[in-house]
Amino acid sequence: MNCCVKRLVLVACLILLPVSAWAQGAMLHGIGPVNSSMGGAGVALPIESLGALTYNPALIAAAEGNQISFSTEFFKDAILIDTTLTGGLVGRTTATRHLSVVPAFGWMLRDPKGKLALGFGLIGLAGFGADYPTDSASLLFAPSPSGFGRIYTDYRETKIPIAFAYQVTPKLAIGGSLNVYMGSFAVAPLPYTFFDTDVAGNRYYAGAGKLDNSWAIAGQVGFFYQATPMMSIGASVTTPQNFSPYKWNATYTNPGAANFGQPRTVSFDLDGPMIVSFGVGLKPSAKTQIAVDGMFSKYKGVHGFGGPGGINNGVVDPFGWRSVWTVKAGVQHQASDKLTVRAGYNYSQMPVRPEVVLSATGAPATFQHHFCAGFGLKMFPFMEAVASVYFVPRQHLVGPFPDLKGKILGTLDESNKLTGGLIGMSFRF
Amino acid sequence: MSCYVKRLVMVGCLVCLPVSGWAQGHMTPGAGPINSAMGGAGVALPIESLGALTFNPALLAGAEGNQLSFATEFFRDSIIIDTSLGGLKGRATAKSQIGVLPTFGWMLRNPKGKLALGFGLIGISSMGADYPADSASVLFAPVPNGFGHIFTDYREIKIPVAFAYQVTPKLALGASLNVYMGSFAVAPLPGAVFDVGRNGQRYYPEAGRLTDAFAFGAQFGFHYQASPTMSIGGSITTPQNFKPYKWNSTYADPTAVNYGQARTLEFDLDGPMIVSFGVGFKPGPKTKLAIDGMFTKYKGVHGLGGPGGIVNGAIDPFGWRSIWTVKAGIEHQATDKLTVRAGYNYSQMPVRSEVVLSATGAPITFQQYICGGVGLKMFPFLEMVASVYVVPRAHVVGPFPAGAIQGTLDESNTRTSGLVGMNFRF
Repeated sequence: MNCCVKRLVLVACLILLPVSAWAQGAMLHGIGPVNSSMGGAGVALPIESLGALTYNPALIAAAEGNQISFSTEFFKDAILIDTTLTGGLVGRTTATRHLSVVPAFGWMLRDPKGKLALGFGLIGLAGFGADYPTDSASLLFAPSPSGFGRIYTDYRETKIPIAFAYQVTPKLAIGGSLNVYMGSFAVAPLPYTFFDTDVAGNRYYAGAGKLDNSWAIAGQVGFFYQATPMMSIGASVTTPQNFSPYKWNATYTNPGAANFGQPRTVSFDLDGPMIVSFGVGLKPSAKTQIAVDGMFSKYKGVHGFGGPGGINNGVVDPFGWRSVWTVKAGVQHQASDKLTVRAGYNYSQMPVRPEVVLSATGAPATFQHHFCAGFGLKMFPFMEAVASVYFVPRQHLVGPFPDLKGKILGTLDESNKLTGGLIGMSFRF
Repeated sequence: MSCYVKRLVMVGCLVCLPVSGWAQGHMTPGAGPINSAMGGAGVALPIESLGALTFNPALLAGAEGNQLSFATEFFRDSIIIDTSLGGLKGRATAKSQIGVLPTFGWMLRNPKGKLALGFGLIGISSMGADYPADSASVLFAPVPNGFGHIFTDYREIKIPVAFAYQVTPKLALGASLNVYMGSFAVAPLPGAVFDVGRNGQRYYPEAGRLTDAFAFGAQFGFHYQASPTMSIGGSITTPQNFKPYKWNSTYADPTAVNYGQARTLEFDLDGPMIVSFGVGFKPGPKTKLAIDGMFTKYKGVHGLGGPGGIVNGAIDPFGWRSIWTVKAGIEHQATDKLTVRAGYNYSQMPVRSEVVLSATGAPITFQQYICGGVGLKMFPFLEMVASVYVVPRAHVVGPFPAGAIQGTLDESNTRTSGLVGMNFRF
């Protein structure tokens, strides 16, 4: 591939990515300390199994023998909700912060003499959560029926890929994986169509507070093309994940009604998006590797995430996310025989939309800029200990604060930031 | 070691274990498909990293090079609550869903050296219940007549960083520093914090969001290869002092003016000291046997080991007693590629019949674990492993205190579980 074509590919990767209002969605920006420290980039740069099994199964064809990664991510966000009413009253709610822990395991294998490669993983892929105390001074969190009262959400998603790749030609590898997804979801109250109404028309929403599990199966296909010794391209498509609706035991919640506390079941359908990833990998020198990726996550239209959001027919529609683009860039440099340093940046559209900011309250995914860095230390010839950190500065989503009739009461400013650290081990043998 | 001494050790292991009312406590019976298939036995039998990192760090010294294990357990409980009160009978069936526990372990010893290392992330506990409200039930009738909809969720992960040292060709000592992460939710929280209505009815607040707490503990163990065909081992795990779990919550009396107003709740739920000991046999080059005993000191542990029952008019959750567990397992290499394993685990119930009401959130009635598994060598460096175990339904039956009338409460549970994993050696 000549220099002109290389530039074209690189420029195309960048041009295809919108340049305004980026964020990440429900997914982690990267998986494992190696991939995370490079901003999640690497669709066209085979380094280790977690990145391959998450973003492009064709990359496992580049394995030389066995490569096993094990890692744990620790992160904590910091949600603030600021309300400004038309009359000038202002209020602030700070969500209780929780440390989240997400493990991941990946294995890939290719006999250097063969053309077939295998991979398997168990990857903590996505999640969100919020925990707001009741606040009588807040319109949003005042005890029901004046507000929603205490609100908490908790969502966790694990991907279990079984992957294969085949080296079609010395330059081209194709891959596919069958992915089992396990989601766990809790939300209390569930501010949706399940509510009770008293004689004055006040609403009381049912709780769905116990983490309930649901499963989905999807496929992922990808390719990896080593255009020149210095440059490669790659891409993958992940099909949408159709989870069974989450179902919870709940109760009727209007304290003035005869059926208060009586059993009911509530359900909510929360599926996963189609994802298209593409990128370019560069090796400007023997010790340095660069990855630049783009990713499109089609949240719009996805059950649960991709509804209209806002107030519809007097009912709160949760999430209301739009589809998002993400751009990622990462660099890896072997500083010495034992030390490898990595850095990356990830900039994505916000899936949450300002015009329906109220729907974002349960999952204020305002994350845009991910600043990432990490290193690997070769402890033994077969094992590298890896670690990374990332920081997502506070970003705001500001929009109208409507009541259930659509009347605008003021302004709602939801903001969040994220700090994460990852540790892990990468084995090769 | 003479035949007489061998018999003494084996008989001692068995005699030390009480013979009535066994169960497992809050932990899974084993860690990973290999250890679980052998009933969780193997304190004196080094086979792979998950068993070693869970039950005896001295076993790391038995590694030859690297050994990596990765496994996931899928299990399902089936809780039934039967009540008899003044001639009325009722049954509540908890919602049953699949629990998932991932586990990873690594151990390393250079065959030329004496020091061994290990690291893991091990899901050691998962328990919970989800009872719908039921107007026909005294226990689950909507408040204030009953507790209404009840759910609990507890998960615990152990992260050991372990070392072992081969002191002599026969003796290895090991230790690990363990970080524990617990996650706990319970709604309502039926403890000392409650609201009282005008007529004296009680309303308990919820603590429904999974919240996390951390603890540190240590584990020390030894492994002694008494003869080529027999070894003994033991370990002790220190108690785990978790920080109290804390939740945002609300006032729960719907007739009070402060209904729905903010409050915080907390509950201290610590972990027990554990003593394990056992003997390992190699009667043939292809067969290994393990027989273990384990003592878990729940009594006195904050949260789990309180008195239980009704104390000063308030419900004390759990009320667990200390328990003994006996485990036995066998591994046989059937062919060059196939290894089969079987095991049995029989333990005391931590829940006590006299305070059965306190067991409702976590009816750990499990007693007999019947286990089996296989390992299939796919490559010279990789064995695919799988196992299953079933725990037949067992009951805890005791008084149901309901004012002047004394009823009977029968709480029972079963568990069915499958584990899959990969075992790498290189």
